[in-house]
Amino acid sequence: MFHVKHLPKNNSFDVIVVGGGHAGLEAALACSRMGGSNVALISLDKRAIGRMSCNPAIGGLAKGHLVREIDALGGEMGRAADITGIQFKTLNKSKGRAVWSPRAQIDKKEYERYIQQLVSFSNVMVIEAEVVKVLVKNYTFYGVILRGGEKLFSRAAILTCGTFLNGLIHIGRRKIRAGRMGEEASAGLTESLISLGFTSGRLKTGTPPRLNRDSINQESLKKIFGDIKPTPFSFRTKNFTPPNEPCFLATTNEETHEIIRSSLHESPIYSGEIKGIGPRYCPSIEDKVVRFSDKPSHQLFLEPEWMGAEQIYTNGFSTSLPENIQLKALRSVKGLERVKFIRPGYAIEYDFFPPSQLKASLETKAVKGLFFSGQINGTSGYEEAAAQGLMAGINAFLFTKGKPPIILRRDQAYIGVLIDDLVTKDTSEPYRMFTCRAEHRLVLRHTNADRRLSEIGNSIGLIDDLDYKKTVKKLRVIDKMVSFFNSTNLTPDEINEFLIMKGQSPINEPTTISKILSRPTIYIKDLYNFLPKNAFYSDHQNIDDVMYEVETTIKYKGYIQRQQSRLEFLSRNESTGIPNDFDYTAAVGLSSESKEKLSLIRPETLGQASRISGVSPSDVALLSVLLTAF
Amino acid sequence: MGAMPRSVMGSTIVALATPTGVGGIAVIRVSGVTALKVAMKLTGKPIQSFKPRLAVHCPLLNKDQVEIDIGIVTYFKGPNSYTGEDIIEISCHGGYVLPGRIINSCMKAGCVPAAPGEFTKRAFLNGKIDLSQAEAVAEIISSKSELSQDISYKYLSGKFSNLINNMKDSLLSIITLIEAELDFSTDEISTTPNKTKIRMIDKVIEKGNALISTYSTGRLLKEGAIVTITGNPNVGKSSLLNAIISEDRVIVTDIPGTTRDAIEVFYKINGLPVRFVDTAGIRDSNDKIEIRGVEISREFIDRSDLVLWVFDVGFSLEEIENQISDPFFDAPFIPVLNKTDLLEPRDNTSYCSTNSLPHIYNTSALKGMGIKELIKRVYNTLVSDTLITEPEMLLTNSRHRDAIEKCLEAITETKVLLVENIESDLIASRLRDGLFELDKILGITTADDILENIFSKFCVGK
Repeated sequence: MFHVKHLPKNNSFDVIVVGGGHAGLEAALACSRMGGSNVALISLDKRAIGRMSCNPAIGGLAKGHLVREIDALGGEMGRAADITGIQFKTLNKSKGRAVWSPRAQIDKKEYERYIQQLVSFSNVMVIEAEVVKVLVKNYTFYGVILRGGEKLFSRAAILTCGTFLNGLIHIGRRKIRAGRMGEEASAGLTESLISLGFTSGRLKTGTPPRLNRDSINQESLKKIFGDIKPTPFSFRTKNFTPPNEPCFLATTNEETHEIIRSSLHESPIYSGEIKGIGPRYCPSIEDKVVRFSDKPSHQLFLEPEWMGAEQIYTNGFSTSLPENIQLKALRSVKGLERVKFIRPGYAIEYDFFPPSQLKASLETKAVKGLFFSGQINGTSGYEEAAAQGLMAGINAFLFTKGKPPIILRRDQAYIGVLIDDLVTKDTSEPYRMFTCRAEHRLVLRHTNADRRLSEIGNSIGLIDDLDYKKTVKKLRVIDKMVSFFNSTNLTPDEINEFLIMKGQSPINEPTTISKILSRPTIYIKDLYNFLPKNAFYSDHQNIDDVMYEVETTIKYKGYIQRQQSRLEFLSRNESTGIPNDFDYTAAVGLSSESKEKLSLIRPETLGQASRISGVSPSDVALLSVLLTAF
Repeated sequence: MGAMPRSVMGSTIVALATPTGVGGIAVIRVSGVTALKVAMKLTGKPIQSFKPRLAVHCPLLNKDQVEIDIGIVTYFKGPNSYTGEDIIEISCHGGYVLPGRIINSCMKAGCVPAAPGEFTKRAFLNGKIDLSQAEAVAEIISSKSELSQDISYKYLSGKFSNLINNMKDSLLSIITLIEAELDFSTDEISTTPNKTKIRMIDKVIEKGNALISTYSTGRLLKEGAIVTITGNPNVGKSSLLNAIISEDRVIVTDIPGTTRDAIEVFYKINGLPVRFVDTAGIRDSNDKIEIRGVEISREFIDRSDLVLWVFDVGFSLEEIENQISDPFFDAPFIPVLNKTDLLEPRDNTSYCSTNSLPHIYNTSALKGMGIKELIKRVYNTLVSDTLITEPEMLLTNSRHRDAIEKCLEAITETKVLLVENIESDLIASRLRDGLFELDKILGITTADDILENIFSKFCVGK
């Protein structure tokens, strides 16, 4: 199984990445791009590198933000999606700029091909093998052992094992040991980590059936297209003209639900055979039917897995019922009367390592040089995995150079929120990003990810100077325009007629353009005619992006200020440090749950402590008293 | 590191729990890990003598082990004690000398003197009470009236928290609706019409306003009301005050201008603390002391919750009506006609003011006539009628009132945004501003709470 022709001298690498999914790829590519001359990427199957195991889409609410941030830092996911996407849509257009989020249907085959090509052109060496043990001496990582006994060495490694650690697939009562359908699971690595003192847990996720396109009556289903004017994920993508391949909408009915209800005893989730906890935000169809029994129907989105694909993904029908029941239930849906499976849906249980065992750099607290990212940390989703992979890759490489890690703050990026949540909160279900998790939501817009993160990306060599210069130029144009609007007045004569027409109160004295623009129903395009000619002087190509950012900056200013003052109040405790050897068990007033969690997680600051679930505000008040008394 | 909390809590503390001075009995409290050892040394009795919650009659020894008193020693075993630690309570004879000697004896046995409030602080640190309850303990101790003590107890028992939590829950349901729409696409969840959301917001505003409207009464109950008695010299202001408090505390003479400084009398009407202030008569004067007195009475009038504006029967109804139709101050007032005993019986009804002017109360301070009615009127004017029957939860803390007001301001603004159909991330942010204000009073809402709510209410996920 070990097929590498030219291993480096002494089997020694800069960094070893275990796993070739979305986390592993970002990690390996980041190490290579930051200057790693030989980075090992160990995968069980090199043809599966970059595989999208579940839905054929990237982005979506909050996840789209993550992709934009990955791109602004110099990661790959955004560009790959732009190149291989077959339908693009910005979601939440009607709900506010901070939550607008790009999403794309992806050609899965093209995505894999593109990624594998990219890897082959980088300094990443793909090794097809299975890691069974990590080697540690003096609490420090130094290598891995492959099945077969071969040893590889490096100063840092990133484990991105996805659902492969002791993966167990459930279809009805049938159980299959596998990491993904048709791919072997990985055994031994969990045990090796446990022997090092790590704690593991069990989670569950699921995937819906894949349908044969020709067996679907497409004429009877509603077609859904993407945006006519698509927006790319990457700030670096130019000349963007992707295809607009439709999806199909089908709906379940009472008959479907009855079939599912009468077979619940066959579902391993309901019979108790699955012990792992599944995500509530991505419920199986059995869950939906049981928990929301008053809903007469649920939507199913039939998504082609690639351009003109014969394989269709049944979004909304994740299930672990026996194959015949799945088929019977789906055939009760209009348009799917004669549907055939390419593959049934299934649930999968896998090992994860509660991420409270990690530092904010994603390095483990117990073993120096060992980093975890992706589903092994209890997250779900390609985007969450890629974001962690990128940060773990960056920090592992910095570690090998003896440099301090890069830790994004919660007010700086969704990635910062994601990782802070992971290392401070207890994961009781697979973690997915939501915008409401970001208390700084109004400033973390997908459209300003470049302002927030490009400088960091450039400083570590992931964003090249040419791209960075373009970004700096764009930001400068925006800033100039905002300050021009802040300092330029419109007179009552100029604007009142328009304001009255808009149903707005007129102005009595010359008023800045910004003030007028911050009124709820006034937009920048409304003001074009009233602005001095030099207001729009700019040779910037993306003038629409620029104007959008200017408008948003002005309109959101007041709300952002209020958000900030609220958060500053809360963060009084944020920076109060807690000594690493603080004895929580001796703090008599803490609830026993708090004591246990605080002793386990060992937060670095009171701010972190306050975000640990189960630690109440009065516990934090008590800690704060104890810390100052000390 | 285990020593850390011990540096705060490790010592055993001692203090006198009853006021110092002459008294039949004094109670001394000892709290801490060595409390039982202190009891042994103090009494010379073996440790087995002391059982939890058992009062033991025993000799009390001074620091040189000489018996100086006989008292009762009661042992409370932690954590089932006020502080959560082992406590012994010693009841001994009172006075200026003995309790001090016993405290010395406790210190010889290893105690250190407790800092002010340290017993309550330890109760908090040991998780026996939370911060707001600790606050309420202090307020109960310092309560000046039954009503304000009742209110403090309502805070301590959590009634106030329930009301705020109730508002928080309503606000949280609206936030949940909006956050769900922000975090899940319309494919995944059904949306709620803005009209419904506005109706929900209105309900929260209603609750908040109801609470705020109790503040003026609540503040009066907690801090007491100031009622100033003013009027021309020698109309009988001091006599009126005396009649009210039924006690000759203020000198009453017939020489105009006797009361030169303001005189304050603390009084309670149905448990409502009232400071009656008898001021110098308002009139032009050249007497320096009296001018100062007049200035002081102006100051009091400006700070008053209510003014009793006293006239006597030397004034004609027309003169009185003239004056009260154009008062020289802003505070609410009750016109009082004093010395009605001097009136001929047939004139009694002639001092009824016309409809548009406040009703003139007829009193005779000398004969004690009309005083009861006046007191009742004072009380009813101070306390809004709805609250008289049973003191409901009242807002007494200006910090709490400000927080609720800010909350209402934020959420009222979101109604406009909802009508205009403005970006709902901004609406959510303003609603969270509102929630945050309520959080300041109670405890913090986290993103997890909101997600939890979403998952329990919506069928999410495609």
